[in-house]
Parts: sequence; C-alpha cells; structure tokens
Amino acid sequence: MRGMVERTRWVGSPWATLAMVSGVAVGGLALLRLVDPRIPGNYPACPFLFVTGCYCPGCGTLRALATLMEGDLRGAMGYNLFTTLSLPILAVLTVVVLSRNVAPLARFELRVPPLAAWGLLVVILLFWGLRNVPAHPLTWLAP
Amino acid sequence: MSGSNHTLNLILAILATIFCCMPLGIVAIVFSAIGMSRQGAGDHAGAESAARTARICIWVSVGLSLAIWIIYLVIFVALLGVAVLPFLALA
Repeated sequence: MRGMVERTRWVGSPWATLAMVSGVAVGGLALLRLVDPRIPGNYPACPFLFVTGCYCPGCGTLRALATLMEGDLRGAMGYNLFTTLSLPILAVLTVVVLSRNVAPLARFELRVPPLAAWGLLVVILLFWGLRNVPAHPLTWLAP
Repeated sequence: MSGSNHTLNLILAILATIFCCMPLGIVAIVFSAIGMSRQGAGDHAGAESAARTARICIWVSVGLSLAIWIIYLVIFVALLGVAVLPFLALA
C-alpha cells in the first residue's frame, strides 16, 4: 500500500511528466523522420477531420514538425501556425514549471497569470474557427 | 496543488489539443485556466477540483488518441499480412 502511494506520487511529479513527454517527443520525431507525414496515406486521417470534415487546431502538426526538422520555418508555419509558434512558449512554460522543483531556483516565483491561460484559449478558438474559413487570406491558416 | 502544477496542466492540455485532435483538449484548457484563476483568487479547494477535472480530460484525450493509433496499426498490419500472404504461399 505504501509502495502504491509512493508510485502515485512519482507518476504525478513534474519530472516524471517531463520524462514521459520528452520520451514520447523523441520517439515521435524519430517516427516522423522514418515515415514522412507529408505523403498522403502514410498516417491515418485525424478522427476529428474524418468525422466532421473540419480542421481542428492541431491539424497539420505532424507535417509542421517534419518541415521544422528540415529547418523550414515558413513551411512549418504554413502547415500549422499555432503549433509552430506555440512550441517556444510551451518550452518556456515547461522551464518555469520545472524551475520550481530545483532548490536554488525555487525562490523565484515565476507565475503564469491566469489571464494568459484564458488568452491562449481565445487564440486557439479563433485559430480553430478562422482556419476553416475558405476565403483567400485565411486559407493560409489551413494545413 | 501548487501554482506550478496548474501551469503543467495547461502545458499538457495544449499538447493534448494539438496532438490528440480532441475537442476534449479545449475542455482541459478551460479547466486549467479555471484552476489558475481560482488559485489566484485564493480558492484552493476549487482550484484543486478544477485541476483534477483538467487532468481527467487530458488523460482521456491521450487515451482515446492512443487507442485510435493502436487500432490503425492493427488494421495496417492485418492488411499488410493479407497482401503478403499469397506471395508467402507461392514461395
């Protein structure tokens, strides 16, 4: 029972989450190098796209990452502007979270204001809506 | 739950939205934001409950997305098997 509690604590710890997310990330990037997502049929259609016919905010993420790995920032933005731009933000946020668990850095209270989270939500919802509009300047947001 | 874990929830919620293609990811972002707002207002119990809901939404979307990938892989391997079998029989 005690071991169970210890394990649960480890599973929930930010370090464990970071280890898991980076493990999946490295594996995923390796898979993208092996199997190119830009060739149709290599990967299954996203279930959301399959069912609704609409692009979700994540559509084009795999293609954007594959393009980004080749150093083509503009091309990556063309596949998914939000993913390409939010990756640095997510990286900074992760450092903020983890710095709280490192003793010398714990004194610096780097708080993400709740307003930023709500702002991010609005940005994602706007992006979701606008990339599905089939009008000229907005088609650039579509994957 | 400390403020840093609410930020972690937000990160995971965004990752779930981008990679899992689930409207549930948006729900997870909403609950992370609610958690952060309540934490800021001093409502620790409310913040904790919102954070728990956010976590559930994150893991359900990750689980569903994994399940879809596994189903796809099984179908792919099965089709490959059906395609290759006649050649194996000839050889």
